[in-house]
Amino acid sequence: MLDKMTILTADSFNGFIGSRDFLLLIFKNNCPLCKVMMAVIEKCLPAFPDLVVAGVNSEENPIILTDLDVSKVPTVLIYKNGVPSARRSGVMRPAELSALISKSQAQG
Amino acid sequence: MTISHDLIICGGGIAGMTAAIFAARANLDVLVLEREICGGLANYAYSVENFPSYSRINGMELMQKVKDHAESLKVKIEEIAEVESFEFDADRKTVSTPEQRYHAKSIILATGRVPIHLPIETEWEEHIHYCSVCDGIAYKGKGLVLVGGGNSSFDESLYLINLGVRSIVIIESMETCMAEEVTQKKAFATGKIAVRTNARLAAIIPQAGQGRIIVEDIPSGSSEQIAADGVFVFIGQRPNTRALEGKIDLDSGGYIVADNLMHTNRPGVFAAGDVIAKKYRQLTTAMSDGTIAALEAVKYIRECA
Repeated sequence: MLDKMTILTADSFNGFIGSRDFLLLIFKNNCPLCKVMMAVIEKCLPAFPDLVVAGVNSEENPIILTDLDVSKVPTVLIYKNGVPSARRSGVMRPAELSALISKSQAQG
Repeated sequence: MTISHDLIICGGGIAGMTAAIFAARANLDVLVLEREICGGLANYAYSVENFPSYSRINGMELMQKVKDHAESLKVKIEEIAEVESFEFDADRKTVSTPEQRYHAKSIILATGRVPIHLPIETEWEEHIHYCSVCDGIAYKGKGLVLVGGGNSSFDESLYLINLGVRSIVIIESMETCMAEEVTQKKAFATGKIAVRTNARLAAIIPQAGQGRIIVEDIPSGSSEQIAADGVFVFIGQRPNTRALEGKIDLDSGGYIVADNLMHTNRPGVFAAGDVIAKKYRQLTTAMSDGTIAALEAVKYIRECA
Protein backbone atom coordinates (compact mmCIF):
# COMPACT_ATOMS: atom_id res chain seq x y z
CA MET A 1 0.00 0.00 0.00
CA LEU A 2 1.21 3.54 -0.77
CA ASP A 3 2.31 5.42 2.35
CA LYS A 4 1.00 8.71 1.02
CA MET A 5 -2.45 7.43 -0.02
CA THR A 6 -5.53 8.50 1.94
CA ILE A 7 -8.00 5.64 1.99
CA LEU A 8 -11.57 6.79 1.35
CA THR A 9 -14.81 4.99 2.10
CA ALA A 10 -18.39 5.54 0.99
CA ASP A 11 -18.88 7.66 4.13
CA SER A 12 -15.81 9.86 3.68
CA PHE A 13 -15.71 10.09 -0.11
CA ASN A 14 -17.91 13.13 -0.82
CA GLY A 15 -16.55 15.10 2.13
CA PHE A 16 -12.99 14.53 0.94
CA ILE A 17 -13.56 15.63 -2.65
CA GLY A 18 -14.81 19.17 -1.97
CA SER A 19 -13.06 21.33 -4.54
CA ARG A 20 -9.79 19.49 -4.23
CA ASP A 21 -7.21 18.57 -6.89
CA PHE A 22 -6.11 14.98 -6.37
CA LEU A 23 -5.39 11.58 -7.88
CA LEU A 24 -7.84 8.81 -7.04
CA LEU A 25 -6.86 5.15 -7.41
CA ILE A 26 -9.65 2.57 -7.43
CA PHE A 27 -8.04 -0.71 -6.37
CA LYS A 28 -8.73 -4.12 -4.93
CA ASN A 29 -6.74 -6.14 -2.41
CA ASN A 30 -4.84 -9.09 -3.91
CA CYS A 31 -5.02 -7.51 -7.37
CA PRO A 32 -1.56 -7.72 -8.97
CA LEU A 33 -2.27 -4.98 -11.51
CA CYS A 34 -3.37 -2.66 -8.67
CA LYS A 35 -0.08 -3.30 -6.88
CA VAL A 36 1.77 -2.47 -10.10
CA MET A 37 -0.20 0.77 -10.41
CA MET A 38 0.57 1.70 -6.80
CA ALA A 39 4.27 1.22 -7.57
CA VAL A 40 3.91 3.36 -10.70
CA ILE A 41 2.25 6.16 -8.68
CA GLU A 42 5.01 5.95 -6.08
CA LYS A 43 7.62 6.26 -8.82
CA CYS A 44 5.93 9.38 -10.21
CA LEU A 45 5.41 11.14 -6.86
CA PRO A 46 8.82 12.85 -6.63
CA ALA A 47 7.97 14.80 -9.80
CA PHE A 48 4.65 15.95 -8.27
CA PRO A 49 5.49 16.63 -4.61
CA ASP A 50 2.20 18.44 -3.93
CA LEU A 51 0.00 15.78 -5.49
CA VAL A 52 -2.66 14.45 -3.13
CA VAL A 53 -3.30 10.73 -3.59
CA ALA A 54 -6.46 8.97 -2.43
CA GLY A 55 -7.60 5.39 -2.83
CA VAL A 56 -10.87 3.48 -2.77
CA ASN A 57 -11.01 -0.26 -2.12
CA SER A 58 -13.46 -1.45 -4.74
CA GLU A 59 -14.61 -4.50 -2.80
CA GLU A 60 -15.44 -2.57 0.34
CA ASN A 61 -17.08 0.36 -1.45
CA PRO A 62 -19.03 -0.93 -4.46
CA ILE A 63 -21.39 2.06 -4.30
CA ILE A 64 -18.52 4.40 -5.24
CA LEU A 65 -17.73 2.25 -8.28
CA THR A 66 -21.35 2.40 -9.37
CA ASP A 67 -21.45 6.19 -8.90
CA LEU A 68 -18.24 6.62 -10.91
CA ASP A 69 -19.22 3.94 -13.48
CA VAL A 70 -16.00 2.01 -12.91
CA SER A 71 -15.96 -1.72 -13.80
CA LYS A 72 -12.23 -2.36 -13.95
CA VAL A 73 -9.36 -2.04 -11.52
CA PRO A 74 -6.95 -0.40 -11.30
CA THR A 75 -8.64 2.79 -12.46
CA VAL A 76 -7.04 6.20 -11.97
CA LEU A 77 -9.10 9.39 -11.92
CA ILE A 78 -7.52 12.83 -11.78
CA TYR A 79 -9.74 15.36 -10.02
CA LYS A 80 -9.46 19.06 -10.78
CA ASN A 81 -11.45 21.43 -8.52
CA GLY A 82 -13.40 18.44 -7.20
CA VAL A 83 -14.39 17.19 -10.66
CA PRO A 84 -12.85 14.23 -12.55
CA SER A 85 -10.89 15.70 -15.45
CA ALA A 86 -9.18 12.53 -16.64
CA ARG A 87 -9.51 8.79 -16.09
CA ARG A 88 -7.70 5.68 -17.27
CA SER A 89 -8.23 2.00 -16.52
CA GLY A 90 -5.47 -0.58 -16.48
CA VAL A 91 -1.78 -0.28 -15.82
CA MET A 92 0.07 2.77 -17.14
CA ARG A 93 3.79 3.24 -17.51
CA PRO A 94 5.28 6.03 -15.35
CA ALA A 95 5.63 8.31 -18.39
CA GLU A 96 1.95 7.83 -19.25
CA LEU A 97 0.79 8.62 -15.72
CA SER A 98 3.07 11.66 -15.50
CA ALA A 99 1.67 12.96 -18.78
CA LEU A 100 -1.91 12.43 -17.56
CA ILE A 101 -1.22 14.31 -14.31
CA SER A 102 0.64 17.13 -16.08
CA LYS A 103 -2.13 17.55 -18.65
CA SER A 104 -4.77 17.68 -15.95
CA GLN A 105 -2.78 20.17 -13.86
CA ALA A 106 -2.29 22.39 -16.92
CA GLN A 107 -6.04 22.68 -17.46
CA GLY A 108 -7.50 25.93 -16.19
CA MET B 1 25.99 8.64 -13.58
CA THR B 2 26.37 4.90 -14.12
CA ILE B 3 25.95 2.45 -11.25
CA SER B 4 28.00 -0.76 -11.20
CA HIS B 5 27.13 -4.17 -9.76
CA ASP B 6 28.65 -7.63 -10.00
CA LEU B 7 25.46 -9.12 -11.42
CA ILE B 8 22.31 -7.59 -12.82
CA ILE B 9 19.24 -9.76 -13.16
CA CYS B 10 16.62 -8.44 -15.53
CA GLY B 11 13.25 -9.75 -14.33
CA GLY B 12 11.87 -10.35 -10.85
CA GLY B 13 9.80 -13.47 -11.45
CA ILE B 14 10.58 -16.80 -9.85
CA ALA B 15 13.57 -17.48 -12.17
CA GLY B 16 15.18 -14.10 -11.57
CA MET B 17 14.55 -14.11 -7.83
CA THR B 18 15.91 -17.65 -7.44
CA ALA B 19 19.03 -16.57 -9.32
CA ALA B 20 19.30 -13.52 -7.05
CA ILE B 21 19.14 -15.68 -3.91
CA PHE B 22 21.86 -18.05 -5.16
CA ALA B 23 24.12 -15.22 -6.37
CA ALA B 24 23.72 -13.22 -3.15
CA ARG B 25 24.63 -16.30 -1.13
CA ALA B 26 27.83 -16.47 -3.22
CA ASN B 27 28.63 -12.94 -2.00
CA LEU B 28 27.90 -11.17 -5.27
CA ASP B 29 26.55 -7.64 -5.30
CA VAL B 30 23.21 -8.28 -7.04
CA LEU B 31 20.67 -5.91 -8.55
CA VAL B 32 17.26 -7.06 -9.81
CA LEU B 33 15.52 -4.78 -12.31
CA GLU B 34 11.80 -5.54 -12.70
CA ARG B 35 9.56 -3.78 -15.22
CA GLU B 36 6.47 -4.09 -12.98
CA ILE B 37 6.51 -5.58 -9.48
CA CYS B 38 8.40 -8.69 -8.47
CA GLY B 39 6.52 -11.94 -8.87
CA GLY B 40 6.00 -12.30 -12.59
CA LEU B 41 3.12 -14.37 -13.90
CA ALA B 42 2.84 -16.20 -10.56
CA ASN B 43 1.31 -13.01 -9.14
CA TYR B 44 -1.72 -13.66 -11.33
CA ALA B 45 -2.35 -17.18 -10.02
CA TYR B 46 -5.10 -17.14 -7.43
CA SER B 47 -4.03 -20.54 -6.24
CA VAL B 48 -0.72 -22.36 -6.78
CA GLU B 49 -1.08 -26.08 -6.04
CA ASN B 50 2.07 -27.60 -7.52
CA PHE B 51 4.78 -25.82 -5.57
CA PRO B 52 6.59 -28.30 -3.29
CA SER B 53 6.14 -27.40 0.39
CA TYR B 54 2.77 -25.72 -0.14
CA SER B 55 -0.22 -27.85 -1.08
CA ARG B 56 -2.00 -24.59 -1.89
CA ILE B 57 -0.85 -20.97 -1.77
CA ASN B 58 -1.90 -17.70 -3.37
CA GLY B 59 0.55 -16.69 -6.11
CA MET B 60 1.17 -13.17 -4.81
CA GLU B 61 1.65 -14.46 -1.27
CA LEU B 62 4.21 -16.99 -2.50
CA MET B 63 6.11 -14.40 -4.49
CA GLN B 64 6.13 -11.92 -1.60
CA LYS B 65 7.84 -14.62 0.48
CA VAL B 66 10.41 -15.08 -2.31
CA LYS B 67 11.00 -11.31 -2.46
CA ASP B 68 11.38 -11.13 1.33
CA HIS B 69 13.94 -13.95 1.13
CA ALA B 70 15.98 -12.12 -1.53
CA GLU B 71 15.83 -8.83 0.38
CA SER B 72 17.00 -10.56 3.55
CA LEU B 73 20.18 -11.43 1.61
CA LYS B 74 20.70 -7.73 0.70
CA VAL B 75 19.69 -8.17 -2.93
CA LYS B 76 18.90 -4.72 -4.34
CA ILE B 77 15.55 -4.63 -6.11
CA GLU B 78 14.22 -1.87 -8.33
CA GLU B 79 10.61 -2.20 -9.45
CA ILE B 80 8.92 -0.26 -12.28
CA ALA B 81 12.34 -0.30 -13.93
CA GLU B 82 12.00 -1.44 -17.51
CA VAL B 83 15.27 -2.10 -19.28
CA GLU B 84 15.10 -0.37 -22.64
CA SER B 85 18.55 -1.11 -24.00
CA PHE B 86 21.31 -3.66 -23.59
CA GLU B 87 24.99 -3.58 -24.54
CA PHE B 88 26.88 -6.83 -24.16
CA ASP B 89 30.60 -6.05 -24.46
CA ALA B 90 33.09 -8.78 -23.65
CA ASP B 91 34.40 -7.15 -20.48
CA ARG B 92 31.36 -5.18 -19.38
CA LYS B 93 27.58 -5.38 -19.79
CA THR B 94 25.43 -2.26 -19.74
CA VAL B 95 21.68 -1.95 -19.31
CA SER B 96 19.63 1.23 -19.32
CA THR B 97 16.19 2.08 -17.92
CA PRO B 98 14.50 5.42 -18.69
CA GLU B 99 16.07 6.83 -15.52
CA GLN B 100 19.41 5.11 -15.07
CA ARG B 101 22.33 3.34 -16.72
CA TYR B 102 23.94 0.32 -15.03
CA HIS B 103 27.15 -1.67 -15.58
CA ALA B 104 27.67 -5.29 -14.52
CA LYS B 105 30.25 -8.01 -14.90
CA SER B 106 27.52 -10.46 -15.82
CA ILE B 107 23.82 -10.37 -16.69
CA ILE B 108 21.00 -12.85 -16.24
CA LEU B 109 18.04 -12.32 -18.53
CA ALA B 110 14.85 -13.52 -16.84
CA THR B 111 12.37 -11.15 -18.44
CA GLY B 112 9.63 -13.75 -18.72
CA ARG B 113 6.54 -13.48 -20.86
CA VAL B 114 3.74 -10.98 -21.18
CA PRO B 115 0.06 -11.68 -21.96
CA ILE B 116 -1.09 -11.47 -25.55
CA HIS B 117 -3.92 -8.98 -25.92
CA LEU B 118 -7.13 -9.50 -27.88
CA PRO B 119 -6.31 -8.67 -31.50
CA ILE B 120 -9.46 -6.64 -32.20
CA GLU B 121 -10.44 -3.00 -31.75
CA THR B 122 -13.59 -2.32 -29.75
CA GLU B 123 -15.28 0.58 -28.00
CA TRP B 124 -16.16 -1.88 -25.22
CA GLU B 125 -12.62 -1.74 -23.78
CA GLU B 126 -13.84 -1.24 -20.19
CA HIS B 127 -15.30 -4.75 -20.28
CA ILE B 128 -12.27 -6.56 -21.72
CA HIS B 129 -10.18 -8.09 -18.94
CA TYR B 130 -6.96 -10.07 -18.51
CA CYS B 131 -7.06 -10.75 -14.75
CA SER B 132 -10.00 -12.51 -13.13
CA VAL B 133 -8.60 -11.99 -9.62
CA CYS B 134 -8.64 -8.23 -10.33
CA ASP B 135 -11.96 -7.82 -12.11
CA GLY B 136 -14.01 -10.98 -11.67
CA ILE B 137 -16.11 -9.85 -8.71
CA ALA B 138 -17.89 -7.21 -10.82
CA TYR B 139 -19.50 -10.03 -12.81
CA LYS B 140 -21.29 -11.86 -10.00
CA GLY B 141 -24.63 -13.05 -11.39
CA LYS B 142 -23.62 -12.09 -14.94
CA GLY B 143 -22.60 -13.87 -18.13
CA LEU B 144 -19.09 -13.89 -19.57
CA VAL B 145 -17.16 -14.96 -22.63
CA LEU B 146 -13.61 -16.28 -22.08
CA VAL B 147 -11.22 -16.36 -25.02
CA GLY B 148 -8.74 -19.24 -25.07
CA GLY B 149 -9.08 -22.92 -24.21
CA GLY B 150 -5.86 -23.57 -22.33
CA ASN B 151 -5.20 -24.25 -18.65
CA SER B 152 -5.40 -20.57 -17.70
CA SER B 153 -8.82 -20.16 -19.24
CA PHE B 154 -10.30 -23.24 -17.54
CA ASP B 155 -8.66 -22.47 -14.17
CA GLU B 156 -9.93 -18.90 -14.32
CA SER B 157 -13.42 -20.01 -15.40
CA LEU B 158 -13.65 -22.18 -12.28
CA TYR B 159 -12.48 -19.23 -10.17
CA LEU B 160 -15.10 -16.97 -11.78
CA ILE B 161 -17.91 -19.50 -11.30
CA ASN B 162 -16.89 -19.76 -7.64
CA LEU B 163 -17.21 -15.97 -7.41
CA GLY B 164 -20.84 -16.30 -8.54
CA VAL B 165 -20.61 -15.68 -12.28
CA ARG B 166 -23.83 -17.01 -13.83
CA SER B 167 -22.51 -18.54 -17.06
CA ILE B 168 -19.38 -18.69 -19.21
CA VAL B 169 -18.80 -19.47 -22.87
CA ILE B 170 -15.19 -20.39 -23.70
CA ILE B 171 -14.03 -19.71 -27.25
CA GLU B 172 -11.15 -21.78 -28.60
CA SER B 173 -9.74 -21.48 -32.11
CA MET B 174 -8.37 -25.04 -32.24
CA GLU B 175 -10.36 -28.25 -32.71
CA THR B 176 -10.05 -29.14 -29.03
CA CYS B 177 -9.23 -27.29 -25.84
CA MET B 178 -5.68 -27.83 -24.61
CA ALA B 179 -6.45 -27.54 -20.88
CA GLU B 180 -5.75 -30.55 -18.68
CA GLU B 181 -8.57 -33.08 -18.83
CA VAL B 182 -9.10 -33.05 -15.08
CA THR B 183 -9.64 -29.27 -15.11
CA GLN B 184 -12.00 -29.46 -18.08
CA LYS B 185 -14.04 -32.12 -16.30
CA LYS B 186 -14.28 -29.96 -13.18
CA ALA B 187 -15.39 -27.01 -15.31
CA PHE B 188 -18.07 -28.89 -17.21
CA ALA B 189 -19.34 -30.46 -13.97
CA THR B 190 -20.46 -26.99 -12.85
CA GLY B 191 -23.08 -27.02 -15.63
CA LYS B 192 -22.34 -23.33 -16.18
CA ILE B 193 -19.52 -23.51 -18.72
CA ALA B 194 -19.96 -24.10 -22.45
CA VAL B 195 -17.26 -24.27 -25.14
CA ARG B 196 -17.12 -23.28 -28.78
CA THR B 197 -14.12 -24.89 -30.50
CA ASN B 198 -12.93 -24.12 -34.02
CA ALA B 199 -14.21 -20.63 -33.33
CA ARG B 200 -12.81 -17.13 -33.08
CA LEU B 201 -14.02 -13.89 -31.57
CA ALA B 202 -14.60 -11.73 -34.65
CA ALA B 203 -16.09 -8.56 -33.15
CA ILE B 204 -17.67 -7.02 -30.07
CA ILE B 205 -20.58 -4.65 -30.49
CA PRO B 206 -21.69 -2.71 -27.39
CA GLN B 207 -25.46 -2.73 -27.03
CA ALA B 208 -27.59 -1.57 -24.10
CA GLY B 209 -24.93 -2.14 -21.44
CA GLN B 210 -24.02 -5.55 -22.75
CA GLY B 211 -21.72 -6.72 -25.52
CA ARG B 212 -22.87 -8.63 -28.56
CA ILE B 213 -19.99 -11.02 -29.06
CA ILE B 214 -19.71 -12.12 -32.67
CA VAL B 215 -18.22 -15.61 -32.77
CA GLU B 216 -17.18 -17.01 -36.12
CA ASP B 217 -17.15 -20.74 -36.79
CA ILE B 218 -13.77 -21.04 -38.54
CA PRO B 219 -14.48 -24.01 -40.88
CA SER B 220 -17.85 -22.74 -42.16
CA GLY B 221 -17.42 -18.99 -41.74
CA SER B 222 -20.88 -18.74 -40.19
CA SER B 223 -21.40 -16.42 -37.21
CA GLU B 224 -23.12 -16.70 -33.86
CA GLN B 225 -23.99 -13.82 -31.52
CA ILE B 226 -23.55 -14.26 -27.78
CA ALA B 227 -24.76 -11.61 -25.33
CA ALA B 228 -22.23 -11.11 -22.53
CA ASP B 229 -21.53 -8.66 -19.73
CA GLY B 230 -17.76 -8.97 -20.07
CA VAL B 231 -14.92 -10.73 -21.87
CA PHE B 232 -11.84 -12.24 -20.23
CA VAL B 233 -8.87 -13.02 -22.45
CA PHE B 234 -6.42 -15.88 -21.83
CA ILE B 235 -4.79 -16.51 -25.21
CA GLY B 236 -1.28 -17.07 -24.00
CA GLN B 237 1.89 -15.07 -23.61
CA ARG B 238 4.75 -13.88 -25.77
CA PRO B 239 8.39 -13.68 -24.66
CA ASN B 240 9.39 -10.27 -23.34
CA THR B 241 12.43 -9.91 -25.59
CA ARG B 242 11.71 -6.96 -27.90
CA ALA B 243 14.56 -4.91 -26.40
CA LEU B 244 16.89 -7.87 -27.00
CA GLU B 245 16.26 -8.21 -30.73
CA GLY B 246 19.59 -8.05 -32.57
CA LYS B 247 21.52 -8.19 -29.29
CA ILE B 248 21.31 -11.90 -28.58
CA ASP B 249 20.25 -15.10 -30.35
CA LEU B 250 16.47 -15.57 -30.30
CA ASP B 251 14.48 -18.39 -31.88
CA SER B 252 11.71 -17.82 -34.43
CA GLY B 253 9.19 -17.32 -31.60
CA GLY B 254 11.33 -14.62 -29.98
CA TYR B 255 12.54 -16.84 -27.12
CA ILE B 256 16.18 -16.64 -25.99
CA VAL B 257 18.32 -19.54 -27.16
CA ALA B 258 20.26 -20.89 -24.16
CA ASP B 259 22.16 -24.13 -23.60
CA ASN B 260 21.58 -26.49 -20.68
CA LEU B 261 23.88 -24.34 -18.50
CA MET B 262 21.79 -21.26 -19.36
CA HIS B 263 24.57 -19.72 -21.46
CA THR B 264 23.42 -17.50 -24.32
CA ASN B 265 25.60 -16.79 -27.36
CA ARG B 266 27.13 -13.79 -25.53
CA PRO B 267 29.85 -14.51 -22.93
CA GLY B 268 28.74 -13.60 -19.43
CA VAL B 269 25.10 -13.26 -20.44
CA PHE B 270 22.85 -15.99 -19.09
CA ALA B 271 19.11 -16.56 -19.40
CA ALA B 272 16.52 -18.28 -17.22
CA GLY B 273 12.83 -18.99 -16.90
CA ASP B 274 9.92 -18.58 -19.29
CA VAL B 275 11.90 -16.33 -21.63
CA ILE B 276 14.14 -19.14 -22.88
CA ALA B 277 13.22 -21.58 -25.63
CA LYS B 278 12.12 -24.76 -23.85
CA LYS B 279 9.24 -27.19 -23.56
CA TYR B 280 8.03 -26.95 -19.96
CA ARG B 281 7.31 -23.62 -18.26
CA GLN B 282 6.51 -24.14 -14.60
CA LEU B 283 7.56 -22.36 -11.40
CA THR B 284 9.78 -25.31 -10.58
CA THR B 285 11.51 -25.43 -13.96
CA ALA B 286 12.08 -21.67 -13.81
CA MET B 287 13.68 -22.08 -10.37
CA SER B 288 16.00 -24.72 -11.81
CA ASP B 289 16.98 -22.37 -14.65
CA GLY B 290 17.58 -19.52 -12.19
CA THR B 291 19.76 -21.69 -9.99
CA ILE B 292 21.93 -22.85 -12.88
CA ALA B 293 22.20 -19.35 -14.37
CA ALA B 294 23.31 -17.91 -11.03
CA LEU B 295 25.93 -20.60 -10.43
CA GLU B 296 27.29 -20.14 -13.95
CA ALA B 297 27.35 -16.35 -13.53
CA VAL B 298 29.30 -16.72 -10.28
CA LYS B 299 31.77 -19.03 -12.06
CA TYR B 300 32.10 -16.59 -14.99
CA ILE B 301 32.75 -13.60 -12.71
CA ARG B 302 35.33 -15.50 -10.63
CA GLU B 303 37.15 -16.72 -13.76
CA CYS B 304 37.26 -13.19 -15.19
CA ALA B 305 38.61 -11.67 -11.97
